[in-house]
Amino acid sequence: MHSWTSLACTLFLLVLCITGLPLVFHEEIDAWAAPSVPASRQPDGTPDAPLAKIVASAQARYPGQYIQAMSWKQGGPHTVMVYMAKEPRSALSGYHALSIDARTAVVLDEPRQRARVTQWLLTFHRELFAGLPGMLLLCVMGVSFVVSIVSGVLIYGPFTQKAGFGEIRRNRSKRAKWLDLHNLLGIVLLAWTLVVGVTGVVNTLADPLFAYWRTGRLAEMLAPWHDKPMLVPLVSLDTAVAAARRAVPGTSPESVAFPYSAYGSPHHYMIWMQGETPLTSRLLTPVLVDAEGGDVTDARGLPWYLRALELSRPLHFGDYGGLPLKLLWAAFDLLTIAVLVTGLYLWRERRKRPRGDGVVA
Amino acid sequence: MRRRLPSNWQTWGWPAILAVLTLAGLFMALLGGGDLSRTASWMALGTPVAVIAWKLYASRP
Repeated sequence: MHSWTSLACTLFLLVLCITGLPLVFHEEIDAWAAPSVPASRQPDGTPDAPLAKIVASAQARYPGQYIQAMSWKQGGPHTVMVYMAKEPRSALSGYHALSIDARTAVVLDEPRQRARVTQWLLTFHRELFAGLPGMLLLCVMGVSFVVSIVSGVLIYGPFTQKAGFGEIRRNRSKRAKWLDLHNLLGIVLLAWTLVVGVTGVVNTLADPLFAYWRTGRLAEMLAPWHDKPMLVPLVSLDTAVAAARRAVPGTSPESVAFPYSAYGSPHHYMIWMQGETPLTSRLLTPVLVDAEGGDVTDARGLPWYLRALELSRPLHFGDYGGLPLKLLWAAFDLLTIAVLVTGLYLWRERRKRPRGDGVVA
Repeated sequence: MRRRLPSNWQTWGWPAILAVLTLAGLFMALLGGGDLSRTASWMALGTPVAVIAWKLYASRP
């Protein structure tokens, strides 16, 4: 079982490890390939500008366009990203971004979201340029990888009866050396590969899970406004964000979908609130604020399957512990490639042997 | 001369310790957030990499 489940996914795993390696450093690559204009220097303690002023700056730059969303996460320190489009309810492909100084409300730049190379790698890594079918194929490959890890652990014991933990027998055949190396790397990387494999499987289901939530629970939250037309916001964003902060204490806004956004509600500001720690900053809570009256109409946490998805993202990408963690992630990735290559070698060598000539290990 | 078979501890002891360290390293930086938890996370996750380096070094011809 270990051989066949591994063989089924090895090629895909190699592709994922190779494309995933530069993606570990996507922030650094993006900053180098598409440097953003930093916010202006201000004295310490300078407060942020009112959000209404930031909205006004964006609208002054593109009069007649519609603000679709705003994000505090995507830009650098003291910057806010504002996403606009020519039409309301536009698809993401119609968005363009403005980077705005959070303290002075001055438009800094109109950046691309990612460098082309990291965007290409991410799309390949996520879906093999095949959309949902590509994601689902990678999901199956991920499950196969997890089964191969578990089956590998089951056969690890008998193999190491012949050589102790981590012993590489240089005085034996080349095949025995590669087998020992495969066993050493595989068992030492066990927990990391299992975590990255399982979280990878969960990540492949992101689109169907969000679609399920949108058509289920979110539709239920928005049911009272179902037939109402899209609203020009009457309440300022400052008022809406203040209401969201009161509804979910101890959090700050991560992003806002405006009523013009196809990814929110035509009658609300949908404000995604985040916590302060590395974990809680990834566990978002959507707060619906009526854009007409300024009241919070709903603020319920995401269901367990989206919580699992949110938790699986950092554990898959390793982007939550600074550069040293990224370097360790890269080392684990390279060592996983070594496990795959040694596994392929062992499989090829075994095919060369006549049947009955077992491993002399 | 017959080689003595390794005990369960010799077979599974190191892998179990390394798995626990890896999981602890993965979650410390995520659940903590301070410099201490980050540093502890790097050290815990660095251990498996160091063990591999040590074993490869020790097995040189």
